Amino acid sequence: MRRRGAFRAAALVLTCWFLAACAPAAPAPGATAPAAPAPGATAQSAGQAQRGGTLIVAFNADPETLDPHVTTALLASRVLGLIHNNLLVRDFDGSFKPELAEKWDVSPDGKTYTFTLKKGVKFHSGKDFTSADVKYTFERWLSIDKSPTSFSIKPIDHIDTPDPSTVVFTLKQPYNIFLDQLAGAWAVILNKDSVDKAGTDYGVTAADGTGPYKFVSWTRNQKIVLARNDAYNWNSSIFQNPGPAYVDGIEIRIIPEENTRVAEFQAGNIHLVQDVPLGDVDRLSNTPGVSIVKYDQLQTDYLGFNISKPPFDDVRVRQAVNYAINRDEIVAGANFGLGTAARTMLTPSTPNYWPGSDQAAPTFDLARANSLLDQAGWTMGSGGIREKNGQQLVLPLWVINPGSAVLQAQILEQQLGKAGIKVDTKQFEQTAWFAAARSGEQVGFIVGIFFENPDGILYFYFYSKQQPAPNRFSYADPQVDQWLEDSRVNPDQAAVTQDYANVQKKVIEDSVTAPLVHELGTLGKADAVQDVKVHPSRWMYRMTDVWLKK
Amino acid sequence: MTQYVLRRLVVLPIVLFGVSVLVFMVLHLVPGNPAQVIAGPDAPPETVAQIERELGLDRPLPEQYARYIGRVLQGDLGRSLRSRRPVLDDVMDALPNTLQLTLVAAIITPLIAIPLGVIAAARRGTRVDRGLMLLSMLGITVPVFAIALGFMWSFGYQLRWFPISGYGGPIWTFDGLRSVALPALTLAVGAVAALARLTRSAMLEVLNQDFVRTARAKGLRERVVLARHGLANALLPVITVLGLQIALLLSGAFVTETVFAWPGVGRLAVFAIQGRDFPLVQGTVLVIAVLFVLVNLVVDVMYAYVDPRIHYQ
Repeated sequence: MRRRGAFRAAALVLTCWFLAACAPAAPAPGATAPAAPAPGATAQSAGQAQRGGTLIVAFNADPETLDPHVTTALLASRVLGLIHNNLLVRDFDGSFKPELAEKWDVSPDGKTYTFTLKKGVKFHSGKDFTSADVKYTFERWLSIDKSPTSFSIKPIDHIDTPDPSTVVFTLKQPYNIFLDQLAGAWAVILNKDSVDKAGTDYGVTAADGTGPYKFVSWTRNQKIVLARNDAYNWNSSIFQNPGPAYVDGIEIRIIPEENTRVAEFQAGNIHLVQDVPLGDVDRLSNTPGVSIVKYDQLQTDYLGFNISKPPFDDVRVRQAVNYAINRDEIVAGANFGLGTAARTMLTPSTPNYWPGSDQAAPTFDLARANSLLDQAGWTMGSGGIREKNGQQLVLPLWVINPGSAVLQAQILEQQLGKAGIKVDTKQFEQTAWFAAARSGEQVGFIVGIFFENPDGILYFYFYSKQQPAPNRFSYADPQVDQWLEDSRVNPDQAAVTQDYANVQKKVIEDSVTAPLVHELGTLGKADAVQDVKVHPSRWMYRMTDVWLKK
Repeated sequence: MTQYVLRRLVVLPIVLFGVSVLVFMVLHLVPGNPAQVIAGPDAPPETVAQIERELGLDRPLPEQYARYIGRVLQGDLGRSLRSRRPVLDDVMDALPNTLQLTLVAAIITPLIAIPLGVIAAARRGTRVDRGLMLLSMLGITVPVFAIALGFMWSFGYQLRWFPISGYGGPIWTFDGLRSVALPALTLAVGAVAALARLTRSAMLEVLNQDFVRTARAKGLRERVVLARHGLANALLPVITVLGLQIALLLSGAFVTETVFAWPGVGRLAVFAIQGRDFPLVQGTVLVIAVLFVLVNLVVDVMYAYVDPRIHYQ
């Protein structure tokens, strides 16, 4: 008897140990009801900014390279944004503000962009920044054959530099999203001399910019060290601090495993950790010494249909799916309450969001879903699954694991089941998903989308020539194509807004997708970190306002 | 003996050739191609095609392989598709870290496992024995991932004895030794558990022999019986398994290094696979294969020293 008691005690101790170690504190779904903050949520500061300290940030992977022209890695864009500047930047409200450019003019035909550059700007290497560097940067970008991003500036015909502080871009045709591209993460200005000197090692062992932080060192797969650029006094007006940055430097630690990142953060070894696992948010919010900043990251998770695949070629079936979905349940159950029910592909804070969306987009209405399916000829069969001509109504649903889509799909299985639609979920590793979802074999799929401007969502995903990806819907509507083409070239801003509204309306009518959740971003922040303001690029961008409280 | 070692080393290139063919084929069977990953999931098909051309991925597979192996024979493992760094540099940066981690794990494994196995055998059928065997069963069955988080949470986070993750320096420095402790312990758990069970059963077998009864009958102290007559004779199968376990430690490094953010070859391989970075995957796997073969060789050679009855021709 005694023996069994000891045995049990040992087992119990071990079990507790593993449970405590492995189980994320399960929060009650929907326990937190975040009021969706505007993009650029601010964690309020405590008084006057102090200088000093090293900000320690965790990344989940190496940023691959710091050559902006050969990568699409999100983490690379983050580091590049600390080392470099753009000609202009996107403000927190979505508009454009000068950065290295003092001002710019666009010709009435929309084909000539003239930038006047700030004077007195220097690269980290000490060289003066001039128009030659701007010309060099964009010509290099266009000339790299294997550049995955140069298509975004293809409309550039040629670049002139009449004097050291003037750059003139001449485009082949009007390109309304040109400023968006110039403010983008890959359009940072490089130092011609440094790039030439480093050759193929540029971005690997060397990086030189005009930004608030200098590149110091990069220990592969371990850490990247940046130091404050003390000469930096040309910060954009979208930030509070004209420069230089408050912290002495930034150390980026690369920690691939999610649980390890959270443990390091909780132990106080890391100041900032992005994309805190949703399941940990509640627990960390109640942990002394740290807090979670929730921000609108302009993201929509949606269920997409390949509308060439029967029975989802029938708009009534797609609409029925849209009406059968209770999005509030998904937000609470799959996203731990960290988001809002999505009814459209654009988030309400995306520029040119169509206000009519609220009226037009389907909301949960099971009766309507059932009647649409009845109309489409799908009758309730045995086992509660609808049938037509001996075929069952099945929605194959491809999701990425790990990711919130796994839980979202589970809830959809129940919800669509009530309307007699059987959901057949298949999970993929991320890269495999992206390969499969452009094969043409996809029928239904869940994926997230985020972009700071409507073009990045509407033109990218719904233009017919964007097939097989990112237009994974087989969506080819001549009228939509025409609106989208016009939105890129029409110099009249009101007409462009109308184009975008038309597309949004049509995509809702055609039920090309079933938007699910506008997922909030989560940023774990140690209490010492002050004035954290998340930019629409989902990051603190230049990190010039952040400071550490002693 | 020298001849035997040389013969084993001659086989090495053949093994590596087989490994390289296998890895090459598997990589091309896995969905998702590197050009697509570099271009980003939403890139236009023209961009993807252009990158494929640039990387030579549009060539027929045999040609791709021939080009690759041709370069490898000249000592050029290629450049990483994503970081653009020479693969050899990446692997050589990571290799010492993996070797340090594996070495520490290989040292602590027998130091913990053999005493535990001997104690369990000596106390056969008691609570101590049952407790130890339960622990060892858990050590074998609980996934490395869970053990890693368990150690991290208890010794790293709660007790703060060791850093939670990361590389603190070479193991001959104090910080380095502290930082290697948890990953090495994690890596060793499975091997310790397997080895402790084996030591116990080997000991029990020996302890049932007549000469042990004789030793006890002539009044030797139990400690001497266990050590000189028991363990000495039980050691050979233990070393065999220890050798296998050390080779297995290398594969355990994939998970352990990833969880503890330990910048070794295993973690490099995981990154490479996720990014479909073909040259980097091939480079890391080749290096791991070489290590595997060498470790096995060292273990075989060790037999001869432990057991004079074994001779290699």
